[in-house]
Amino acid sequence: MKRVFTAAIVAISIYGMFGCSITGGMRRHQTTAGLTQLTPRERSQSQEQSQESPTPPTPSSPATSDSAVVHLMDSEVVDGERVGALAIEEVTIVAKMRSLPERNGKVTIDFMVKIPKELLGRGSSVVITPCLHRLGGEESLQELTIRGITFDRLQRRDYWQYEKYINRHPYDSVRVAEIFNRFVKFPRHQDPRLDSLSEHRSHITYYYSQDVPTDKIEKRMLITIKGQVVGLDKSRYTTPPSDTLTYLVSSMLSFLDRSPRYRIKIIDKYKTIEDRHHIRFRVNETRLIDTLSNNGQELDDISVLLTQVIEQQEFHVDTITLTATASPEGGYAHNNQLAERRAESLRDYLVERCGDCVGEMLTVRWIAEDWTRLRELIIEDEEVPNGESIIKIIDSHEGLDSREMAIRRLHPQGYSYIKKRLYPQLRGVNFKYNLRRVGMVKDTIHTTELDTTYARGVELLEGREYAKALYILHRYNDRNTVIAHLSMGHDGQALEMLQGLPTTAINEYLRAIAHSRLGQKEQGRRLFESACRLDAKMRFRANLDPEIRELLKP
Amino acid sequence: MVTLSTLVFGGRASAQNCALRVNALATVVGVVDLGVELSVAENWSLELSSQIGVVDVTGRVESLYSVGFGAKYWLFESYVGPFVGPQLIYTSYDIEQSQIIYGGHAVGLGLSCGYSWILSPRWSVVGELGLGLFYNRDCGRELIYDDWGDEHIYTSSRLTLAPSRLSISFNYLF
Repeated sequence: MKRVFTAAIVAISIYGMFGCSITGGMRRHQTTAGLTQLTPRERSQSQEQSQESPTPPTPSSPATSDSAVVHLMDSEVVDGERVGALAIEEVTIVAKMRSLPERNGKVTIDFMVKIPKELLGRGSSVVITPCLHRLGGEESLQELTIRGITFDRLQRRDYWQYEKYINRHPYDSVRVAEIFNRFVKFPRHQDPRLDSLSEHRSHITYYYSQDVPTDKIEKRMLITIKGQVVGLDKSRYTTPPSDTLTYLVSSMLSFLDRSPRYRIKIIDKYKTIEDRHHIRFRVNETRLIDTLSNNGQELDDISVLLTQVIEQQEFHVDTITLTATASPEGGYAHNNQLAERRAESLRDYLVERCGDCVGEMLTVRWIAEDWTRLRELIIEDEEVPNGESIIKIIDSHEGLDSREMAIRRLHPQGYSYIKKRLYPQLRGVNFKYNLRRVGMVKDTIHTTELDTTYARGVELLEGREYAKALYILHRYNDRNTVIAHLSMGHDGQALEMLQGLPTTAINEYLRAIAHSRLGQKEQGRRLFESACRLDAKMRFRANLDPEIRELLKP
Repeated sequence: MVTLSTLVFGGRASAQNCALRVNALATVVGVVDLGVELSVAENWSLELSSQIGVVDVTGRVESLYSVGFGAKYWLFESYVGPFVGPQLIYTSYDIEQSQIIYGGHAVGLGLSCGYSWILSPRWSVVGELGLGLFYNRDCGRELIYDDWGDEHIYTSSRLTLAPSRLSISFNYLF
């Protein structure tokens, strides 16, 4: 009898060891981790905690406020009847949906993850991964891992064995990876949010808070959690789908001024196009050589523009003036002749290239010595030696040749610099195209057209690309600029700008927000009240903005 | 024994882990129970053990020499968690039972199960319990007998069901 009994115990224990895996029970009961929103009280508590310590909060004590707890306190006898007195604790109903205020292009989502004790075992590890679902797809947030004692020790032993082996046998990286896989059956998770050991078999509640950049279009974000339990016997269990938490992103974009903006466009009857090119000639020569220096390219550019102007239909070409300029080097009479001949040789070239009609339109002028331009160049160029005295010489000498001689004599260094660096810039050709709009009687017309730049700025703002939007909108100084500033956290600038804007409900409300952020509660409160007087709907909006909620706190 | 196992498994021993174990429970009753274990696969290990009992705490004349060879299947991995395994045991003994000393030897086949708790990467505590079927051949002599009377010698060979393993031991991994 005793032997049969012993044999039975052995059989049962062997069945117990082989018959069910670590995660088998979980699979049968479909155990899953819970996901809940925080109650306002819990939120304020956890925020206080996180203010005290910058590290992420550790598993807190089991939360009970999301469930109603009824205690039978005591009973008393009233008129011979026993009357039970029920003390009902505070019942808090937590909505599955919450709206989040968007600040600086981000929202902070937070929730409680409750991992029931059934999922926690000595020989298993639980990995809980919150998943953020939005239009763009699914995104895994940092995971929580909770390991059982035995699991942890085995993991540590595996790593110890691996390190011991690697130290004894130095191998290359391929072999090392192979050896790692051989020794470490349960690799540690990289960078988990929470990595903890469950010493006691009690459930764990974790406060999870995460900053998420807001989506461009989607206002709704969903959070679910995925859980996987891995047992030391290599059995795996994936938890069934959890509750879904919904977050609605409320941003200041609802205050956006979507009305289109127009700008006045002035259309002139007359139009002038100026174009300058540098054509090189050989010393004392007037022949145009298109292979010299960069002449080929310059001549191409000239003829392209010339052809474009002639061929377009919008304008009638009145005149085209070609002005050739030479440098003051040498005698004036010679330079004058040279400039004239050079201008004519260019005209001949262009007529030959673009046709006879060009010859009719072209008026040829020349400037023998372009002293005005030279004076400007000397002032602009700070490196000219004795620049100031050279300017004085230019201003005091009337005769052009004596002017050059004086510079050459008094400031040889400055002259050689000018000759080398500035004279080539003077040898150029200016084209001036005088155009007249076809069929237009009045000299100017003022029309309004849609300001596309502004529209683009608003579009960027709607797409939550605040920095880019602000870059465009900062010139406009209107409500949208203020919203861009507020979204970027430039509260002072926003406030300054708001002061110049008309007193509307929205503007007053935005001012209240800016004041609240700057810590000026009293002014903020007054502005909020004023906004509510202007538009009663603002009172409901207040719930969506934590800044205003802060103001309304007693 | 370490040398033996190294000889048996050659160079592979360096890649695997060896464990030495001392049975604390046996020490209490004056039996030195030592074992060496070698992990041969992820879930399998082989074990060579010996028990020597010469000091008797009760003051009776008894001795026990035993050698065992066993295998263990570990449910998680070698030296961690639950395991089960068969073993082959040879024992030579002198045991006193109701004024008769039985001297002989036994060969048995046992099946044991146990659990190993990890204390640190090197150390673990293993509890093991096993039951075996033994074939005994022994000869019993009366401890006290009458000078004038006959001396009774009981020779027998029989099958017994006895614990093949009963240990709480400390394992050292190297």
